[in-house]
Amino acid sequence: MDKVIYKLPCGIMVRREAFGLLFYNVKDTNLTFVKLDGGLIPDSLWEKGFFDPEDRCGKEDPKYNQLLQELVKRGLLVGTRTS
Amino acid sequence: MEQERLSSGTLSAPVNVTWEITGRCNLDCRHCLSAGAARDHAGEMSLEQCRHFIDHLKGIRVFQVNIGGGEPFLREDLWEILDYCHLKGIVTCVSTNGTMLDAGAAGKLARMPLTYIQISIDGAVQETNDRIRGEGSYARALRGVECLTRQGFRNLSLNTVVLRDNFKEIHDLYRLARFYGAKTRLSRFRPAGRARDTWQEYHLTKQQILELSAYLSEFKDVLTGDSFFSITAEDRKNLGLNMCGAARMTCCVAPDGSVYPCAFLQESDFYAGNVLEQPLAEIWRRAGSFNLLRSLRKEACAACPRFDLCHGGCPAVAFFLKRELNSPDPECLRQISEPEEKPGEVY
Repeated sequence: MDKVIYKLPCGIMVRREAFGLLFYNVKDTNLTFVKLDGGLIPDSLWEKGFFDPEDRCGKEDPKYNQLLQELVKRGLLVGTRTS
Repeated sequence: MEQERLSSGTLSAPVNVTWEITGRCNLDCRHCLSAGAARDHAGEMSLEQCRHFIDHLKGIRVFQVNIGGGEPFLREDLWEILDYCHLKGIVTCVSTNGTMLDAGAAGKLARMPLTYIQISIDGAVQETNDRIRGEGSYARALRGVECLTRQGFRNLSLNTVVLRDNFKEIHDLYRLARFYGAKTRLSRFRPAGRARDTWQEYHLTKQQILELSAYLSEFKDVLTGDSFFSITAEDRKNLGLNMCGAARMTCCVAPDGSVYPCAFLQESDFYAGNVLEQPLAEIWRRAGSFNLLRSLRKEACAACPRFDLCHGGCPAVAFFLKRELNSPDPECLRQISEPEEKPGEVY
């Protein structure tokens, strides 16, 4: 069955901060502050450049999926289907 | 961008670091923030020390290094420093007078996608620029700009420190930058370093400040960095930082590794440590001067309707003109709208 993993788009960097995540766009040097509860995005995003949302809890979480979609919409993450 | 978070919290590390890699300069600009140009390499970090520092910046996830000086291209190992930053995934923005850029250098820079270049030009015509930056500097800077554009360098901006003397040429400077496919960046004149001596001659009049505010509203593609948040209107609120970023988002490292909150506060009162003796991350967290700036509350500004737009303005300007960090920015829109200047007032 296909699943979606999330990656950082080319030119986007990120780091964890007390308030959530701080994204930096190499192409225009703009910053985006995203308020998040700690742990929602696993460290593998910055350590490996991707993460599998199922690794977090192994089950569907509508609010979590909504957050991921919002980050994708803002160009801060890309979702990639894998089998 | 939710910048309000910055006013209440501290980032784990700077987002960008201003790194003055040399004090040496081949020009002698009248408004230079450096107190005096160094003539030799004494006191500069070695290449090995630079690499070690870059490793640390990578470790604490600093995204961008703004390389300045002095004139950075006077360091023969600048290329190694840039390459090493890029190898570590750190974006570099080099602030240069452009006079040392030839076709070879421009070609190398054009092959560096993580580099931004900012060339300083302080007049749309040679006469104005050279009066401020020195004879021949206009032609040499433009030659550098042309070399970069011929090589297809994309991330170029022309930077102008806005002065009483060049104010009327701002729009021509904008057109000049567009002609070369570059962005325009306007920087604020602050009374630090040598600029203390020329402050009275060069600082903007109240009328010019008001006109500049209107100009920035009209031309939103003009970059200002963190220079003009104290005078920009509501409609530019999300175009840049709306508060002082010193010790909150950025800090300055001097050629010898000394750390200060910003390039304009390189005073002993604000010395925070030295990266050759202590990791920057530790300085960032613990330095007294950094925590002082973070806790600064400009009470006189609290009731101002513009507070959310500037959070009290530039502490460096307040410090140099009023000797108080927590004074309102003497050049903010509210301050300059006060009825009249008192005779003998410093500003």
